[in-house]
Amino acid sequence: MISKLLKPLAIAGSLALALNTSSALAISVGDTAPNFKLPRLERSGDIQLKSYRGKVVYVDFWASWCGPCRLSLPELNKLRKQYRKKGFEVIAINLDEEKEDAMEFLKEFPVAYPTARDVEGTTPDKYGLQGMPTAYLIDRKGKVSLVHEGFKKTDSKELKHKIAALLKKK
Amino acid sequence: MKKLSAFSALSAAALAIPTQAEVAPTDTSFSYRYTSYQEADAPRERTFTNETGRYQIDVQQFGYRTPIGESWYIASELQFETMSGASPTQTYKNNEGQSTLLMSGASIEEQRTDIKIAPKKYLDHGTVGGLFALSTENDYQSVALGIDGTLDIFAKHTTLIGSLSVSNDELSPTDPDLSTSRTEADGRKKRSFSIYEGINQVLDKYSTLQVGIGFTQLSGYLSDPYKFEDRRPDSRDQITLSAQHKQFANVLDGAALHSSYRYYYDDWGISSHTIDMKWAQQINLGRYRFIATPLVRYYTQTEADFYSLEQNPADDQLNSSDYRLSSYGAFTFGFNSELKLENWAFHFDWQQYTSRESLALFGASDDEAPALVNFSTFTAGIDYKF
Amino acid sequence: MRNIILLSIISSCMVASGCTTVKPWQRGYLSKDVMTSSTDPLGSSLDNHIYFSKEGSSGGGQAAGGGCGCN
Repeated sequence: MISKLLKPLAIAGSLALALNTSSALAISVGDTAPNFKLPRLERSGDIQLKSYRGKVVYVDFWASWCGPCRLSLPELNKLRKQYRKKGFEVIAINLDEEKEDAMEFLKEFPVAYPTARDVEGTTPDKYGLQGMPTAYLIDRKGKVSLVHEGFKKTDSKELKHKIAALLKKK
Repeated sequence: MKKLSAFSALSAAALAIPTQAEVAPTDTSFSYRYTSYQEADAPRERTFTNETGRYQIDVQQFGYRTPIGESWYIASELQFETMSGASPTQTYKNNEGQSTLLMSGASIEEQRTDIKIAPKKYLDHGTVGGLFALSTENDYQSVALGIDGTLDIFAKHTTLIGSLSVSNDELSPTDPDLSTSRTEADGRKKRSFSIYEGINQVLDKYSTLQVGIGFTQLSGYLSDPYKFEDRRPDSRDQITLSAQHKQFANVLDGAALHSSYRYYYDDWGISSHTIDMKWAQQINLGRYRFIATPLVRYYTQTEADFYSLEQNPADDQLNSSDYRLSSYGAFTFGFNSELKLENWAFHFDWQQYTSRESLALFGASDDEAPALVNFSTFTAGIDYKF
Repeated sequence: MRNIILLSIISSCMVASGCTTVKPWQRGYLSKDVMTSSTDPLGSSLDNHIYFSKEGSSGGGQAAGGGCGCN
């Protein structure tokens, strides 16, 4: 009797485990966004998350081979232009293994916001990234307000509301 | 081509669907391909008459793929085929023990239209898709339906793949009064049921491996009504075991070795091995991206239990002298090329197929099969993506 | 018997994926054109159509890409 139940339970259990092996230590809403200090992609110098405390920051992890990034970069550029004066900034972290791939992509989709480069992948590890692209919307106090996976055409609207709301808070 | 049920094309199409279940692709694309297929003449030393010409086939393919909403994607293909030429009606051993090839007298000209539509829904951890295929020509109709799904596990390192398809074909041979086999086949049906299960595994940053098992059951009228002394069983069970490996190599602007192996076995006595290798080499020239892909394929099969070159076998006996049921081996050498520039891609592909009794690795027979075909194909195509 | 096979396949995958982990941001090479080119839909559709009608075998699988980890 019990063994009859055990078999399907074991299969269901291992399947559930299989589907969720990765989500263990991912940074989620309410957590303090881990700091990072990374070299800039297009020029010399570093970008440090800490130095943007007090602003609403959108940290966007992207790579040239990621399809939805072709949509997200231009949209984020627009959002940044719209809310910059109110204290909004976008910090992009490029994860391409080859720098030329990132540079080629930026030629096609240029952005005005700062882009950092993380070849080792320590930052996405720290954040517990589940997929590409993933972005973290961080409030003025340095806490994660939204974890945004993927990017669809309709996402800008949702982001606008969230960004505007966070900008109003002190 | 010979009367191919949409089912086979369907299983091919279903299996060509990429398995990674990410967000639905966002590209819309239009594609066109023109292919010219040409068979080499039959050997004059073995044909009974002067007729040595074989098939010449022109195929036009129109492809349209587009996202629908946020998580659906639809792929469709329309195919127009014009076939002309003659084909073998029988091969038999004459009194001197030499294989003699009878070719069909008249040169036929036939047209076939084929449509396939495959919608797919992208979910968080996988996909669910369907396939509808219809093929019609003046002597053969086929409808096929399929369903497929993928499931990502272990943080997208492993993808489970499954697909199921069924098809229903109807024969209506031209000039049914010309022979008893044609009369008998008129209105007869052929059904198929097929399943495939596979696992795709990401091995490391540069390579993947997919293994799979397939099972197909055919039933109904499975003989060839246009051939003489062609009486096949009314069912056929088929099994395939296959593996595909892809390996990225950092050569020039990027390259990849694609290798695959398939073992096939059925209850007609045919078993086969297929090995396929392609080297895709990318070369960037300014804004142009060029991918050159030389390829080679080796195929070997054993003969069907009821394959024989008996000129007048007993009427109640299963029999066929169709070269496709004989024991032989074949090599394909080919070269595919793709040139990409922004939204456009241009394709030029060429393939040469040569089959011979002596190339068989297992179960080679001493009998000649002069109907074994050699063919070459040339394809030109254009894609536009946006 | 079937359950044993299924469980052993899943557990060998677990071992395999445990050995070399490929993070979602490390899927770049697997998404490259040269890696996905063998599954050109129109090309494979025609190739299979030709082989299944000119040879005694049919069926078999098709290679898939490695996953780009995109959500």
